[in-house]
Order: sequence, then structure tokens, then C-alpha cells
Amino acid sequence: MSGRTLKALSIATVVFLTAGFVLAIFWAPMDADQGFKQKIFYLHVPLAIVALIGFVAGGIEGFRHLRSGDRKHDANSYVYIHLSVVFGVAVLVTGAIWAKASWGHWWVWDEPTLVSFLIVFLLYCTYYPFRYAIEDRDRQARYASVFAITAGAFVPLNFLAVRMAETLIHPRVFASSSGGLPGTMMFAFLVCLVGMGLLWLTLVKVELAGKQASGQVSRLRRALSADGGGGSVSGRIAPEMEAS
Amino acid sequence: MFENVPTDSTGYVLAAYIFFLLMLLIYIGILGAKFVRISREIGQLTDEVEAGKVDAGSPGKAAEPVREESSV
Repeated sequence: MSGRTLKALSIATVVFLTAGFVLAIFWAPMDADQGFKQKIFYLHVPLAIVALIGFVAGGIEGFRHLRSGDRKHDANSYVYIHLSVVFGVAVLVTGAIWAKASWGHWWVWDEPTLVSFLIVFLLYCTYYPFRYAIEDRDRQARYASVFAITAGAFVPLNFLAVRMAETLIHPRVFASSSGGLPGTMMFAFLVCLVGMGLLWLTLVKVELAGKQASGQVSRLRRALSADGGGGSVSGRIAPEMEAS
Repeated sequence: MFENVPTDSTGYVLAAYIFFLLMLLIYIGILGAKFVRISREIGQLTDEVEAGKVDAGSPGKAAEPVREESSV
């Protein structure tokens, strides 16, 4: 990706996120049931949706890696999952804040949506030790891809299981029998969702650019070391772990 | 379950949004630090390559085999 595209993506992210939050706070009507605290919805839900889509996208990239053997897809899968885990932390914290404001408790264990997201999050937290426990880089990439596919398939299944659960106390705002979100709320929500998606994409591109640059530095160092026959070049620069 | 519900929720909304912004800033800071490190490493490698070229070009060092054939 060129620097110009990344710049445009960054600007679009800032514009959409800022507009979304401004619309959510100042323009969208106050929720009759929850009042002002419902404004957390415009932050929490887009974060959760983008994180879950990122996990699934990580699985798709893992699948593409296994099919093609191209390490680029493994790097994509890693970065998608990594960023979705970071977003997942934000989902859990903002969700806890919303729960405290709405229910008076930071966490409610009998709430299927909360617990299922925690399970998905913890599952993906094991991705890192699992991946880096394997030293051989080809095996590491293959096993990590298998993990990404399996866990990625688990995400929609988990979502469906929660939807089908009977004890629902979490707010259902989409496709509910009572009509879901009003138009103004939905518009503000969609702007926030697009902004959050763009933020995720921008961070993915920046992370991938960093990994690519780091890999190029490693290759350059190896080439210099080989040319120097293990002389002063390799002696003066400490060995670096491969960018993963 | 609802006996502890706060009456004023503005603080909670602020806390959620500020947490998100802080987390984003920290993440961008970490990314920035990574790019600074990469930039420093590229600078180091550039110095190495340039030093290798100088060594190869100087009469006193011409006989030394180390790195004079560098193609990078």
C-alpha cells in the first residue's frame, strides 16, 4: 500500500470516527429506557462487531495461507487476529463500564453475550503462546493458520448459539420484533461502525507495513553478514528475531 | 440487581470514550516506537554499508577481504 493510500485511509478514519461520535453524543436521540449511558453503545458495539469480523478474517487468511503457502497470508492472519484481540480488550472494558452504569455490576456471569465474547477473547489470547511455542517458522505459520481457521469458524457459531439462547437480557437492537433502532440512532451507529472498521483497517495496514520493513531490515542484515563472512557487520549488530 | 444503578451516568460514558482514546493513543505510540527502531536499524545498516565501501576504497584496507564485495 502506498503512503498516499494510507494517508487517505487515516484521514477517512479520523473523519468517520469523529463524525460518528459527535452524531452519537449530540444528534442521536436519548434512549428512553437507558438515558445518556446508552451512548456507550455507539462505541462498544462497533468495537465488538469489528473485532469479531477481524477474527473471522484472520481465519480466512489462515485458510488462504494453507492453500497457497504464501507467507503474506500468514502475516495478514496474525495482524488481523492481533488487532482484533486489542479491540477485544476495548470491548470488554467498555462493556464492563456500560454494565456498571446500566446494571450496577461490572460483570454479569449469567449474560450469554458477555460470557461468550469473553470465551472468544480468551481463546484468541492463547494464539500468541501457541504460535511462539513453535520455533520452526514454517510449522509455526501452518499451525497458527489451523488455529485461526478453527477459532474463526467458532466465532459465528458462538454468535448463533448466543442468539438462540433463551435467557436474553442483553439489549437486542437489531432485527428485534419491537422494530430495532430508530433511523437517527441507526445512522449514527452506522457512521461509528464504518469509522471503527476504517480504524481497524488503517491499523492493520500500518502494522503490516511495520512488519514488512522489519523483515526487509532482517534480510538486509543477513545479506550484509553473508557478504562480510561473519566479520564486523554481524559482530556489531545484535541478532534480531524474525518479524512475524 | 438494579439497586446499585447510578443516577448520573455521564461519568461512565466519558470513562468509556476516554479509555478508548487512551488505548488508541498508547497503541499508536507503540507503533511509532517500532517505526523509530526500524528507522534506527536502517541507519545503522546504511552506516555499515557506507563504512564497507570506504574500507574497500582506501589503499591501506584494500587487502582486507571483509565486506569489500558487498552487493547490498
